[in-house]
Amino acid sequence: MNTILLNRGVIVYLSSEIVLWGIFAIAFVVMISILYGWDFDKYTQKQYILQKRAWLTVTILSFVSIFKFLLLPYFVYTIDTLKDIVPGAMCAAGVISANSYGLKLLLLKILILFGFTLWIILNRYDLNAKNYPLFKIKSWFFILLFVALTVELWLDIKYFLHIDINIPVSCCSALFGQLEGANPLPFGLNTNTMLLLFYILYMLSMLLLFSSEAWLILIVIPLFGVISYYSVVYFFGTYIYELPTHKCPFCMLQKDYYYIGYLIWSSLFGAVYLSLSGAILQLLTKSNSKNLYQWSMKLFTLFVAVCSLYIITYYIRSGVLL
Amino acid sequence: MQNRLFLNYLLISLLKERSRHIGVVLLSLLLIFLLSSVLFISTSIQTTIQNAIKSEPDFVIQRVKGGLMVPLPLSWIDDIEDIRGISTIQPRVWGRYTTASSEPETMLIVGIDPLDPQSNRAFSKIMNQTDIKSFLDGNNMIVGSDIAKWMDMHYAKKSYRFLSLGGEFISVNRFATLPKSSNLISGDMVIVPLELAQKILNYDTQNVTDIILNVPNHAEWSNLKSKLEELHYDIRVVSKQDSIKAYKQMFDYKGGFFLALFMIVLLAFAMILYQRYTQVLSTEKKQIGILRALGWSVQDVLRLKMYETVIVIIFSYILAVTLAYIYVFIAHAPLLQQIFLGTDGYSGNTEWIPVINLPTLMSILLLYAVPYFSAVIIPVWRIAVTDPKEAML
Amino acid sequence: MNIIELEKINKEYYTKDGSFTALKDITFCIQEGECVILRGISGSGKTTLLSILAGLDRPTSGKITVDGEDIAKLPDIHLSHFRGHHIGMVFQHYNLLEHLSVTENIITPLIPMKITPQEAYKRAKEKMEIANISHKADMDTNRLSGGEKQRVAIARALIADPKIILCDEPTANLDRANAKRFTDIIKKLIDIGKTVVIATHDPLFWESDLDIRIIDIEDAKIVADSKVEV
Ligand SMILES: Nc1ncnc2c1ncn2[C@@H]1O[C@H](COP(=O)(O)OP(=O)(O)OP(=O)(O)O)[C@@H](O)[C@H]1O
Ligand SMILES: [Mg+2]
Repeated sequence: MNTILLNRGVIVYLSSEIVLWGIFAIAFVVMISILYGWDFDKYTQKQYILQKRAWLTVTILSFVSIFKFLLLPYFVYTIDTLKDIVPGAMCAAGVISANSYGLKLLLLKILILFGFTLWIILNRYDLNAKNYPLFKIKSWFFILLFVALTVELWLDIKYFLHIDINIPVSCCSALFGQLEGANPLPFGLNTNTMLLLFYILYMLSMLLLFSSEAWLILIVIPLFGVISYYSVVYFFGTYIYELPTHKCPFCMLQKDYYYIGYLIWSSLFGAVYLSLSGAILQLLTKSNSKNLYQWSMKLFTLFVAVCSLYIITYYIRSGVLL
Repeated sequence: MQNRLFLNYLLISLLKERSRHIGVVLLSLLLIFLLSSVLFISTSIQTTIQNAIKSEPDFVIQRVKGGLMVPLPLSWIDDIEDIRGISTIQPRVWGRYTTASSEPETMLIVGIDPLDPQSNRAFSKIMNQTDIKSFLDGNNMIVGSDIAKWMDMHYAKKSYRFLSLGGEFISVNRFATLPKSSNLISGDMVIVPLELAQKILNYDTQNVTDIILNVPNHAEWSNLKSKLEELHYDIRVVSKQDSIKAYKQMFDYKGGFFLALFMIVLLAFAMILYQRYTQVLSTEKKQIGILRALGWSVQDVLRLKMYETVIVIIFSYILAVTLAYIYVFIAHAPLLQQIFLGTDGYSGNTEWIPVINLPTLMSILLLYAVPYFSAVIIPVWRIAVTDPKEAML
Repeated sequence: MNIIELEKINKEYYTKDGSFTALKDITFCIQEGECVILRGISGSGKTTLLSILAGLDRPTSGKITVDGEDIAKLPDIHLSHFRGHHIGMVFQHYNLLEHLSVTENIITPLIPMKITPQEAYKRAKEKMEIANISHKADMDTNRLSGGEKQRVAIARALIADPKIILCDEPTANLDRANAKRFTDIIKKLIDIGKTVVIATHDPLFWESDLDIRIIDIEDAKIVADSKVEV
């Protein structure tokens, strides 16, 4: 038997995932029955029963999403503790790349959390309207979420089953370090142009969120998200680690760096989730998403401020930049 | 928070109908208490061992002949020094010494060179507290607490005469005693200067027991290991990572087994919860119907019942975890200690280092709250969609 | 101005042995400030009609507009919101929450409305004055007499300042003296402009000096309306 499966974190994580999937599967079956019989214009008893059942799906989804949000950091933390067992790994980066499932799993998780955020926001709008205007959309989206959750569970199991504790993995310096002069940055950027772009995109995002330009938000925010990711890994991270060669999105989640990574990544993801959900809602319903935009503006600003503060405090303390 | 009237109502109805929740709370308390006690103990042991291992050197070089460890020549150090990336290299002399008496006592003789920087972090702490000059001045030793007790009983309050493995008597002064609290260093240890250790253990002056290395760049570890192994055919390289891994696996194995068993208990717990909630909530049907008739929506009732559940969960969780903390770290876990540790290797009054970390707390919460919510979500929904017409009947 | 409009309201109950028509093609309007008595023998469908007016139940077909809102198909959140803000209900069995005190009972409809406690208690005081129950404000409800319970129920029905008050058999469980006091309170309510609909077969109401309109229901249908002569 694979000894990874006996690790406490892995057991707790996997069993929680399975239970959550199971309860979501119930909601899925209920949702199918609702979709099958739903006709809001009818006065039948059945329609009212379906409306009641819809509450079950909402309740289950809310419950599952809360725990999914808790389980992502728990997952990352668990992976991080496995570094003692998986040879060669110094942080979660090595463990996640122990097989080809890891990275896919992590990306899917991030997408699913976005899906949950979007669903909850659509649902809130739908319930506050008087005739379920988004019912079909949100129901199909619910089914999509269930499919995603199923794939996720499959990847979960595949991933943990296929971590071979006898095969050494690369550590983050090998995964993220510059390999023989190859430029890891996207779009042929160098560090300076990337930083410039980072701050320009931040200002632009603020402007777009402030003026509720939904289409532009859908284009610019993902770009800003990507640039933010690279900026944190290849620039801001080096100031967190205070080592110009240390480039890793995971090490900053460790105790040595006061778990600052959790704040950085959650503020970034939260801001992206809320702004994109707001934009999609605005486009679908022509309603205004000011409130959501305001929240994402706050989170983006928190994110940029924390990153920038690392540079500033380093400069003040040592008088130079890395 | 939603609003104060809502919270008010929530608390009043929880308090007035607390008898309904007592059964569930007691059961939860028992469950979380057991779970957290076990997890606290295992986390504590794991941390102790990991700390002990962390103060060990990164690599230990040994020489093996026919499967047995034999002394190795100091000349090996020169070969090793050529490899890049090594920060400290230090020869060590150590071995077991058994006294010749009717009740033989075994001690661990450890020779160190106090002038060298100590690669073992625990030792460097001891050396910092020692007056090195007078320690080196003559045959002196620092003894562990168990040995100190033994020597006191055997009329060796000032010095002890060792009969070296070569057959000659060596008298060694007791220079200091290690404090009992230093968990990381065993009580049967005797620390002496390197040359003295070689004499007691009857080593050739050019031979040592093993060589220890520290390699600051952890990324180089696996690379370095293979380089070292190529040096001599009879070399054995033990890396710290290997021992951490071995310990971790051992603990994962024990803990995993417990957790797997615990899952079955949790399943039973969830089933009881489901029944209990279905039963209790069905008696509230009229009451919920009235609330619905008075303008409460399904969402409001769902929120009420979910908050009620959350309060019960958090209350039991905090209480049980606190009790478990007191039980394990203040009362030293009577009963559970024997079950958990058996008798192998640990003496009766083990003191756990209080280790409480967020992941452990989070694990307990997940193991408890996920099945709890999953079990009650359908009964809660069922009651929340009560027809307001119920109030008219 | 019509505050309640019903148009061809039908209600069927589905039971094991087929369906049962509890309301058939009910059509009428009620004006703001009117006091309407729904009169009929037991089983004629009064409670069913009242439930539909209050948004507690949904018609099988037809259109019902209350205070400008078409409530027949309103989703639950809105229907509940509507009930809370527009309808005050006085139930036959009072339906107080036994585990709460009088004041706490009276403010329960305000809980989903996000009102500050100060405001809620201020309002509760006002309504208890109207319903003559101020002297029992902190009492536990299960120790009240029947008449007192009903006055608590009235105060509760008034708490959110609804335009419409609906009562189901309000005097069925009261002695004559208390029943008389109830009609006095109803008079007060009509004086302050509430629309009142009472389902009853108690002759007290049409023998009293209340200015009322009587709608007779028989076998799920309206058979007489004292305003629109049938
Ligand atoms: N849920 C139900 N399922 C089936 N039939 C019902 C249901 N509720 C009420 N009914 C029937 O509908 C009819 C009308 O009932 P309703 O309660 O409206 O009468 P009512 O006029 O209020 O009588 P009472 O004066 O006794 O209160 C009755 O025959 C009753 O049996
Ligand atoms: Mg009736």
